Amino acid sequence: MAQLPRRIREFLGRIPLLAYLLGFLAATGIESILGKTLGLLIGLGGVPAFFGITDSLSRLVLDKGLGGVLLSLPSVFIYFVLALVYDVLIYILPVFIVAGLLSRPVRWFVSTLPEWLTGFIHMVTLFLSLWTWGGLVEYRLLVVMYIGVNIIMTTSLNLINGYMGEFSCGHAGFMAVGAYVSSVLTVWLFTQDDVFGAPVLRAGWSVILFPLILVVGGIAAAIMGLLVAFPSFKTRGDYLAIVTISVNFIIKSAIENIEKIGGPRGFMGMKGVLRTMESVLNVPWLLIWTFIGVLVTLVVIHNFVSSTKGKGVVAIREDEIAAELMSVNTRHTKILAFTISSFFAGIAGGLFAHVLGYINPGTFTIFKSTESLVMVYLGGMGSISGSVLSAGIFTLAMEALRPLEVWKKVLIWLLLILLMMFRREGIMGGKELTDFVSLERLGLRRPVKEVKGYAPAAD
Amino acid sequence: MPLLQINHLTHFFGGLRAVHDFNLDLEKGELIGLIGPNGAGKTTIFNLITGAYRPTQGDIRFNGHNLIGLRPHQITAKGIGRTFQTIRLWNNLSVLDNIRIAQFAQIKYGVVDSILHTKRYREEEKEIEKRSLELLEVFNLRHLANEVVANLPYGQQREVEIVRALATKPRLLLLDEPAAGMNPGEIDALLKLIQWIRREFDLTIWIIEHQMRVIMGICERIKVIDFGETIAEGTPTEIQTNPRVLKAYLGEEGF
Ligand SMILES: Nc1ncnc2c1ncn2[C@@H]1O[C@H](COP(=O)(O)OP(=O)(O)OP(=O)(O)O)[C@@H](O)[C@H]1O
Ligand SMILES: [Mg+2]
Repeated sequence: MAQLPRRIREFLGRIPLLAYLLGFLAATGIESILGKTLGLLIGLGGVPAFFGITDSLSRLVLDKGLGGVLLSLPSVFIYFVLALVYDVLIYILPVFIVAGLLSRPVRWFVSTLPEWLTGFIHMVTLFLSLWTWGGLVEYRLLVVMYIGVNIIMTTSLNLINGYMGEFSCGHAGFMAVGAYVSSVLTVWLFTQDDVFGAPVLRAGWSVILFPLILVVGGIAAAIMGLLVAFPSFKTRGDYLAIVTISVNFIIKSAIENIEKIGGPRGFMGMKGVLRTMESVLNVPWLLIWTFIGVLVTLVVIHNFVSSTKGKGVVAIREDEIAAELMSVNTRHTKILAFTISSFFAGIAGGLFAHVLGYINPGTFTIFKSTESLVMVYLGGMGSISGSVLSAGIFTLAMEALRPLEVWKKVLIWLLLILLMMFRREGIMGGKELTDFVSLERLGLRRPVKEVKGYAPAAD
Repeated sequence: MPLLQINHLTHFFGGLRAVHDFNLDLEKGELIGLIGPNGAGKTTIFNLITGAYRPTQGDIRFNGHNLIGLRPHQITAKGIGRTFQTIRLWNNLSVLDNIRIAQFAQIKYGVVDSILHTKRYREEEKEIEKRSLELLEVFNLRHLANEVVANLPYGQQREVEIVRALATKPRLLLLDEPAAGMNPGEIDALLKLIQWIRREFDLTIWIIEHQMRVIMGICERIKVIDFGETIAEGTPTEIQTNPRVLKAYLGEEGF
């Protein structure tokens, strides 16, 4: 009998990632057809947005004191159980059934393809499932894009705080630069605006130039990154942390004082940009670019830190003086690290501004920076997969726990305190997911054929 | 022309004169020693040569090039490798990574190559890895390549530090008290290793030592400093009988 769980585990472990992704895609397909009916049938009143967590919590009565809370608990519980039924029927069963059925064919299929194509197919499947899942409830799509933005923020900050071991607490400043630069450009170029007047370019350009404008925002942020990079030659640790905070404040105040872009009142019009883009071709542009932005960030930062050149960053963390004395050009390396990091914060800012449709300087204060910091530490310093996981979990939790109102924040920060007390190394503890499951096993890389008498070189 | 030429090197830490008027001509292929009691200024001299500090006065030429004002990594790239008195490896990295990073100056690819994994990047990285593993192989450390440095015993960390210094492709190797913390058996092995490295890598070597008897057997020439001043210079036998040296070491345990 004790054999059973192990055998199930082994079976599930053998299923390639792509089969799971296809399972999820199938589940989202099933949900878009049957979700609403099932939701009504079992008394959920429709499709639950986040697996029923938000909807159950919103049944809590918080404004009538402890009595109110206690009295509302049964209804929360009942809704939660019903949502669980829904989740099992809509997600869990289809995912595992489809994944199990497809396990063998997918494994075979993947083994016939070159690795880059396999990777591409994974990405497309993931994108499609996020799109169908998000397409069902608009709020979901928004959260999916927030997660994307936060993954970019967290991974890029991890380059500084995790890999290089400096303590930057002004990441939102760079995000602001990217957000404003790209928003001002898109609004000026593609929309009818009170300040900037008629669109400068024809609508068709918007879809082509949008990613380039994001990059321009990123470059502007990277240049601001130099404001931290140069002081970092002389200053380290706590003192550099103060520098990053100051830069965050300087950027925010600078924006507040530029009347032309709304000053403290903020800047809007990005929804119009989206409408222009959608008028050219009606696809989920922002989801696409957020998705691509996340991929590019992950690939760039991963490839950089695993190259010998990029490992200079880690050598600085471990012992800066030894690094410089052992041939690492530490200044050059710091400039690279800070510009790459702030570049991606700028990209995240550009995406964020267009997802939100409205930005103001108050969005990009040190509180926003702190949020990124929290995600870095939650995921684990120096772990890219940790950053991805924590950005996902943290953003989802922030949204799903919204009905708890103020208690949400208390709960989340309490969790953080517990984390710092009992698992300081974060979820991943400085490791990557691939340290636990090999790419071969996930079906992302072809298994190395074993030849007798030949030992593969150590990686 | 001497490989390393030091003229009138003087260094102050605030009011403290750590090195005073130090002079040296080091010929290619020599193996020399620098000894002196605690706080004599030995490590400071290495730090001045490698650019960790900028000297108050004096000049340092390596292979004819002026080193003053260069940043440490530039000096290392010119061919001066070193180890530290207290081990300064990158502790949370693998042995292999420690050796790889020390080849930083030899990288010719750019960041973009590293991000796009261009052919150039792959070839250079392959070469770096190959060379690192070969170096480790030579020192019988190959099987530890993927071990995190912090998990190695002290003696092996010392060896890895020497390998890391060699990975920078030095022509001059500066060893700061390499025998510190070793027992007599280990010291013997270390001295053999140093002589072997010198032949095998065609190196000029300069060793700092606290106790003279350690390097007696292998150095051709020894300089002695005390309170930043050079008090003696000569062959090991000359040094051993020099009254100023004896005086400086008076009270110090066995010399
Ligand atoms: N960074 C520094 N700042 C101030 N004083 C220093 C510094 N480094 C060394 N000193 C001082 O300079 C003098 C020489 O130090 P140094 O480390 O060169 O001695 P050493 O000969 O290497 O001694 P040991 O045998 O103990 O290693 C000592 O008095 C030391 O306290
Ligand atoms: Mg010393």
